[in-house]
Amino acid sequence: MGLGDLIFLIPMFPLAGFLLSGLAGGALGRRGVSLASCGLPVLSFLLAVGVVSRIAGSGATIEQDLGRWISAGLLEARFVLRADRLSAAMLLVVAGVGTLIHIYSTGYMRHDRGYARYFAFLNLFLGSMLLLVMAGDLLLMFAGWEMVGLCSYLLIGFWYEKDANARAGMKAFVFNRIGDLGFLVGIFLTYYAFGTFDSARIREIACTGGVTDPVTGLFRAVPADLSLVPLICLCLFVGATGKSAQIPLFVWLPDAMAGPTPVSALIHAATMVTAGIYMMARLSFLYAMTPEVMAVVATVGAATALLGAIAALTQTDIKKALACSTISQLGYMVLGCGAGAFSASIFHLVTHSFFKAALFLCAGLAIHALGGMQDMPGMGGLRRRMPWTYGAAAISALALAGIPPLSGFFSKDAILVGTLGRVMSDGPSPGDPGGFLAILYAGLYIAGTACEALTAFYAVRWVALVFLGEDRSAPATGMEAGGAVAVSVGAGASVARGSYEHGEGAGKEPATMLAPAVALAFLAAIGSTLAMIPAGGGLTGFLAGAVAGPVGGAAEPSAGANYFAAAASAAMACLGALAAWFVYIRRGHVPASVPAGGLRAVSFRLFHFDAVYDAAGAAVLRLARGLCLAVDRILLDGLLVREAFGGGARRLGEILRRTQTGTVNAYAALMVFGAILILVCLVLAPGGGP
Amino acid sequence: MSGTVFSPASCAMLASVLFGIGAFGIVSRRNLIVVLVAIEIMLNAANLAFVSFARLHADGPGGGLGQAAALFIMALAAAEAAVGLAIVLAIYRSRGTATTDGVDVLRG
Amino acid sequence: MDWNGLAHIGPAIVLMLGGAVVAFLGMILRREEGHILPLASLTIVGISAAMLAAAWPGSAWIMPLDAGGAVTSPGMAGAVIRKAFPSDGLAAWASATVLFAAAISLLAAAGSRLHSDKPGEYHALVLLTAAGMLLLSRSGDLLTLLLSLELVSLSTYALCASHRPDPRSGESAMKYFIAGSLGTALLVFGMALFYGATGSLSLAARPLQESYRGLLACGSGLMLAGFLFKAGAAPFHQWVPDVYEGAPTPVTILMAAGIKAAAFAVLARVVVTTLPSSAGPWDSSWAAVLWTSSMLTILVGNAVALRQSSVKRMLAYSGIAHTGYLLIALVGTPGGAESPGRAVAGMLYYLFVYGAAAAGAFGVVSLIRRGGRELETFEDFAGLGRERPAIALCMALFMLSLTGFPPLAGFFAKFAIFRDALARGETALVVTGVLASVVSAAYYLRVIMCMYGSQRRSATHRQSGAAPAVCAGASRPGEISGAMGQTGSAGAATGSAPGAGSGSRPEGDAAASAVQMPLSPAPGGTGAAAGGGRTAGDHASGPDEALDRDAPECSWAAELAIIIPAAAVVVFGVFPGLLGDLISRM
Repeated sequence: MGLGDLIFLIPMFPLAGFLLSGLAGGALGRRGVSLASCGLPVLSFLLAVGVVSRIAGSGATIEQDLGRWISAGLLEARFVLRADRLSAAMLLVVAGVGTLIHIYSTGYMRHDRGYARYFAFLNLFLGSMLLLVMAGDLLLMFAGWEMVGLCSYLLIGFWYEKDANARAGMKAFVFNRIGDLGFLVGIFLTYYAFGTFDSARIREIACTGGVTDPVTGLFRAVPADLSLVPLICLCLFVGATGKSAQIPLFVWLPDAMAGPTPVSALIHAATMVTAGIYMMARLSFLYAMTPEVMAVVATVGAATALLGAIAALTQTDIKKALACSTISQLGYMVLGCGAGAFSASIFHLVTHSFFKAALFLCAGLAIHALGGMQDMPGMGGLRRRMPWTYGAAAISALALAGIPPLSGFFSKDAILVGTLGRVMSDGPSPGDPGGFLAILYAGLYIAGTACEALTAFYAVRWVALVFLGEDRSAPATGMEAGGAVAVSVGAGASVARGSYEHGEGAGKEPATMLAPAVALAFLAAIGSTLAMIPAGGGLTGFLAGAVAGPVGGAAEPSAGANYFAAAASAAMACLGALAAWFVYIRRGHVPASVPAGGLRAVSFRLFHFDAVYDAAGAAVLRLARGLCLAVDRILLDGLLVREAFGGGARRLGEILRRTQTGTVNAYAALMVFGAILILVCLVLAPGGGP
Repeated sequence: MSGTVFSPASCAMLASVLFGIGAFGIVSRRNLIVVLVAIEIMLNAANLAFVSFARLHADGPGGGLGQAAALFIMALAAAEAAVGLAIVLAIYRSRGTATTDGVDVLRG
Repeated sequence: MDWNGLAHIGPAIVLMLGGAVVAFLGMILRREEGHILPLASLTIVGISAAMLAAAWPGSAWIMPLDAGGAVTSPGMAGAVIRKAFPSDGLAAWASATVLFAAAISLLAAAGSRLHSDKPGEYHALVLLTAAGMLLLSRSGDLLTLLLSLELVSLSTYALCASHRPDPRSGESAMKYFIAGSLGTALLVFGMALFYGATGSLSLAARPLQESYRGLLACGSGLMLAGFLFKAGAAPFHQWVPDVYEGAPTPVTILMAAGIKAAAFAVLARVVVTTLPSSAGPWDSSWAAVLWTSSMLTILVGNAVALRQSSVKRMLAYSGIAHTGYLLIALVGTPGGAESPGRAVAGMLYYLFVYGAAAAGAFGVVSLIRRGGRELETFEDFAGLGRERPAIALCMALFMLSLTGFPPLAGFFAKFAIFRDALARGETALVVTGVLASVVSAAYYLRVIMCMYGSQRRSATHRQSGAAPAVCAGASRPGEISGAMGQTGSAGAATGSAPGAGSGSRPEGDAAASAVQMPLSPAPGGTGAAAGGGRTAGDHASGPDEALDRDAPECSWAAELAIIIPAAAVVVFGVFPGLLGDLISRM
């Protein structure tokens, strides 16, 4: 009974917590629910630590086969959990950050009526994500993927009495479903091409053209249809755009702040949006085979990064600004995947989950202290009332901004260096005579670097508006607040108030809530060390075998390129931070809650994607309705049923009914006729006749 | 035996003709009594066929079967006639006539 | 005495002896002791069922018959019986269906106020019919087959005529008798030709000489015509609606559920054992005959059922349609080595399921009375959902099961037959069957819509919605969807107008109206006038009458006769595994 037999407990602990809180929440009481739902994830985390230390030591993959899951004809899916270096790194992040958020939640949700329900869903969320991360094959991963989507729906709409919240949950669910369809098609195509769902076997087949029996060591060639790989990668990427909030499916994420703030932290940092990145990293060896799809991925990522950053510049809702920032940072990660720097993407995923979780927890503390207010122009000056929160938020924001030597700088730099590496290696090639890819990646690199400045700008702006300057909250809540206040307070406060209005009062920083935020900020600060220690090249080195390396065997960028990229991004980050310092700290500018118009409004409304979707959706629905109506009423009901089918049957029935004359002699005549017919039929049969 | 007028084959032909006459009678005649007679003719046609084929198979293992069947069918015909006459009587009582004409409330 | 052989026909013997006992009881019992007769008859059916269960065949599904001649050793009575009445799964399941039908028929007879003047004879005839059906379903020899068939036929002729006050009862008996005698004559003459060709009366006999094959084909063809007549398949179907409608409804239950099962059992045995022996070059033409008959039966049954205004007659035509579906199971069966067992198992399941639903539906028609009459027209069903919710629910279940609506048993029965036919390559038949099932929903669902969709007019003079049009618009059943969509259409008002004008008929006391017929005997009246008068009278007088309450001593039987089939339709649909080896063979 070694560790390998116990890894199934990692997802099972939170799932058990879900059952416990969900079924026996009333019997356990609040204290019991807190203990169970925080204690079980801690156990998962400890197990994950054990798994990581084992893997880091031996490098072997830990696998556990829990039996057959689906069996239908030739198709067989086994319930295999697997922990390799990639999933081990993810496990640590998911279980660790998740556990901290659980602890924070015990404070945040203390007075909520649905305490047990909340923790049941939270545990289910965490367990689903752990299942997704440890899934050995794509089907099981899809199961976790769907469960995560379901939990996000349940938690975003947690305060479902409020119509807007329920609608936000629905929106997240629907947009995720669009992506899920792509993921599902990708899974089926994968099965079609490789004949298996198991990701390790897919990798073996894709890389070596066959499978090696682990016992005998015999190699067996497996014919695989590799021409499908680009299509597979595209379909899977569609899934990732849904889950990881990329263009064009990102619109659900800003609305997802309708849920309780710890849920936002969980979604943005640990459990939900990272799934798409993880899935691409898991299947990175497939992506590495198709440079064209990689270019698409990188382009979408860079565009999303820019869009998110620009949108974040003008947001006035404290959580929505962070949500836009998440979109932008996810764009970075996708850019990294598209550039072939998968380990850099995972690195950024890890550091991002630290500082973004910390920022959300700090936001929660601020909202908590201000009685449900979420409008940043109405905040300010919280630095004096909440020094610890301010400290954590400032460090995390600087990490987000990419100011060296905080963690965000290193992880973003790794991605940009990877992109630069593609510029260097993708010269004119037989498949790409114009060097188009090199030019494209050069453009993407420039966009990514420019985005650094925007990131730094909105990060500093966020801190300045919330924590620095004058305290605008006391008189502001009622009068100065414009539409956005009404909206955001209306959305958040009326329901959120129920959760903490009986709390300790503004200005207090409860330890259960503060400690996780500070711990995460600390991790965000020192996360950069992940790039340096463990001796073998940091996290990147740790992951080296688990994800695909640089595409096309491109060499590592030269030291000069490395230094150039680092200097450029540091300079851009400082530039952005300085600009924000000048505008929001030095000059003390406070934006209006809702921008008047112009470009600001475009940014504030996230480039009007929602409006376009609404209009397009309405148009499509109208069209479909008209079409269905036409088909149903005219074709089916009118022509087919009434005329051809019903009418025909009715006319036939009327004719036949008249043959039923009621005279028994006529019946006898028909019988005799029938008998003669049978005889004739038999006698005239081939070879028949007496 | 074959070649004579009373060969089994010619008896079977006669039976077939009788059967056809009976069938024609059921189809064409409206008087219920005549219809009953036509039914009897058909059953007796079958009887004739049975006994003539019994003659044909006289040497085989099933030689006696045809005659036995004819006996059973005679009894059966008697039972049919009894039930049939009772029904005709019931029709006559309720309608005052014993034809199939006009007995067509049930139709359509 | 070889008791083992006797066990094969024990259930039938019990029924015959019981019939004699009941006839005797009927003579000595006083009129007020009449309720003993149904109880005694049900007990006898129960004993018969217990014997059937005790002697349930183990493994044999369709017993192969030896083609030899007579049994020569005279002391072997058991061997003779075993040979003449093989005991196999086919016979056992058909017998079970028959006994089920007999029990429901007896319950229905007890529950309805059908008191013939000779109740002992009535019950004795029912038991004799059941005995004949049991023997028929396990006949392996043409002579026993003929005799048991005649036992069934003659008893049924008499049963049809048993309701003296109703002229339709006599008419149905007369029609059944003439058509049935013609069918019997075809069968008997076919048997004679068959005997001529084979020198044997065993179903598995082979032609003695190659030159006899033509004779054998003619004989088998005529026999097939006789069986198709009993099953009610086109073109031998025309007796079915008239007889089902005219006969007392408990007798209709016995015919629809019981005789159909027995007839299909013997037809399946003929198709599986006899036809291949005469096969050779005629193999495909046998299949062609059955194919054509099946197709015609489906079309005729469904098309004419659409045009009925009487629910009972609609159910009769629906019985024809289901005969067509059942025939699909037998088309091409001799062709496959593996398929006969599967096809026949599906057919038996279908027979039981159809029998239960049809018996229950006829039971509703018979047992719920309005103004002393059976529920006849669609309009009579209006408002039943409110007045008798439990009964209406059962009726809805029967209709849905007959339509083939999952998860009721009717769906799985149709599914089994269609799936098996598809596997044999009978695509055209299956497509026709499925389309016809869709069409059939029009007339089945019409009953449900009448029960739930509209209210009695006496209660709803003010609201003339679209729903009454569903019932009143009897001549346009194909436009149900139209009526649903267009609420308050003009057709609704005109269609249901006649009822409003006529004065409400004073309700007589229950006992008097029980025997009172909607139509006076009208001796000598022309049929056309009588028929028209009946229909018009129904429409005029029906709507204002309330449901009769059941007489207290009968109501338990009436409700059992409805609830037991309803339970069967649901339970055997949801848990088909309860039918054990039948399902496993499908």
